Amino acid sequence: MTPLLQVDDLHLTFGGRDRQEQRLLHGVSFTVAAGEAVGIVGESGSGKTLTLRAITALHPPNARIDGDIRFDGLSVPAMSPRELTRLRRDHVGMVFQDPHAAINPVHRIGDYLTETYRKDGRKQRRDATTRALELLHQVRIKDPARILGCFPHELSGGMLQRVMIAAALMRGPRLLLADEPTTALDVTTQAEVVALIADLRRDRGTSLVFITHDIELVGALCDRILVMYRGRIVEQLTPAQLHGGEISHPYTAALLACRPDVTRRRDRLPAIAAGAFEEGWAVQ
Amino acid sequence: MISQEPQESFAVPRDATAPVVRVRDLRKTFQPRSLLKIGQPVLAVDGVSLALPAGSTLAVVGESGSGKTTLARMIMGVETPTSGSIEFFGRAQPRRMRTRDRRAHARVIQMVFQNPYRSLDPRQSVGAAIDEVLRLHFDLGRQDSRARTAELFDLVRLSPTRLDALPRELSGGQRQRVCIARALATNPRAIILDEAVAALDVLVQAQVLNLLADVQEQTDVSYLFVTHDLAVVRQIADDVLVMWSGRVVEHGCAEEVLDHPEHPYTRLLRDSVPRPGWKPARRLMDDGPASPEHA
Repeated sequence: MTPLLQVDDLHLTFGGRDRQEQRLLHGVSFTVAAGEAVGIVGESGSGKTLTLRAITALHPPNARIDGDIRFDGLSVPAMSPRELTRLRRDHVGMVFQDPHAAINPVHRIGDYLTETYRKDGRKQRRDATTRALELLHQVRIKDPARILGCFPHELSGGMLQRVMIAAALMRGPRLLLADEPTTALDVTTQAEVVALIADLRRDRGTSLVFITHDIELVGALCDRILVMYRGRIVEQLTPAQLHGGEISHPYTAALLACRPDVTRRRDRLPAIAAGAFEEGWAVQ
Repeated sequence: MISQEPQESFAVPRDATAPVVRVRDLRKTFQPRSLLKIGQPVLAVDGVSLALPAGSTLAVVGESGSGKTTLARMIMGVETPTSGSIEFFGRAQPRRMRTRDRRAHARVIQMVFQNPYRSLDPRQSVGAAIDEVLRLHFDLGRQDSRARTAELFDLVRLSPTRLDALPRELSGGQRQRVCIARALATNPRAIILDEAVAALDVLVQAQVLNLLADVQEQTDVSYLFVTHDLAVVRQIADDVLVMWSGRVVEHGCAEEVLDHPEHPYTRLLRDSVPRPGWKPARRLMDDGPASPEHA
């Protein structure tokens, strides 16, 4: 069976010609099966967001892409603008880090949720509103009818993040891409949003790519963890391997070791300099 | 001319054995202003008391809307309390601070913010940012000030070759070190760190947490650490104060509170930290902040 998403030897380069070439992704390859949840962890600048954006061809326009990305067997880089619109609208839902930055502040929540139905007939638009209400209810928003008439600034970050998840699910996508959807949230709200994503995935069988810098968070949510470092996937492992000590790459070990532990205090956290893994993958 | 010693003012240690900061029954009410409707007054901080002894770290924990930042702002003197008192070394902070008071205040307590990108002037070199503070507070010549800046850079383990760099040329972690160095420039007795490591990657966060511990050991400075992450609290704090909806719901030794949280809200916070075997739990969703009743 072909996987739902297949990223094959993806390279992403800025510049070229007269300017200095800068390569930010160096041959990233992974697959996501139907219904599977894959987490990508790494620090800022490791290339995880660029990888995610390339999946729907939303990478910066001045970047050059080499390699192939296949969604349901179809090559994304080869798609026409019209096909891309269809891919982003119907098949792939996206959730970003800062909901207040990602949602147009001058439109009401109701308009935001039903945006893609604007050119459809009156009946479809009415059905869309019904669906929006249903989804807001599913993401546990109280009084969805009132929320439809609200502007984004009237909602808290956690509520707006749930609205963005509802918007991503409007057309019943087969793949959900989430780029640090909980980083801007409080820990309690984070737990809530992660639980919500886990439930929705189980109920709908939606595939998921979840980006974060918190390795324990993907360990709890995903079937498989990809560790990215400086534009490469340096390790793939399952949560069982992560917690069973079957970590082979020192960078993965560092991500785990540097995290403060809520159950015990350590004398010092391990000090690992950025770039320590560059040469021969040695821990300093 | 500004003399080396603080002028006679409220911040002169009256009692050197008293806590650096003592807060008693502090309250802050905000009156929402709107053209069309008069809203209900919001009680942001409701009867908070705390003491911050010299050389110790007190974590103030809570989520958005719990009042922890308002509390920090009142201690910094940028927000006027509705009632209650704030003392530094046993001397009360005046309700209205004059310039002289503010300057003396700045030598007792400083603040580091969450976002180091926004708390540095993008057009000022990071060395100049520290130099500015030094010259405002101490009667230093250009050379002495430069030497002291280099010393502060050394304390936060930044290379002196970065003195002339602009903020945008530094990484997030380096910028946060500059902010810590700038806070240390007045030789304060306490620093308020408002979510100061929340925006940093794990590896950088670990470095900054270690650095803060080292600086405390060397200078005996106290930290008031505002955060929502109990794992960070475990690593750095001696005492912890848990706030919910403006009130203190739990207060005690950090180890004790984290090992045996008594209040359901503290338990909820602790259980929300991802760790091996963690399953995120769905509580009954409320559109307001998480409440202890849901734990």
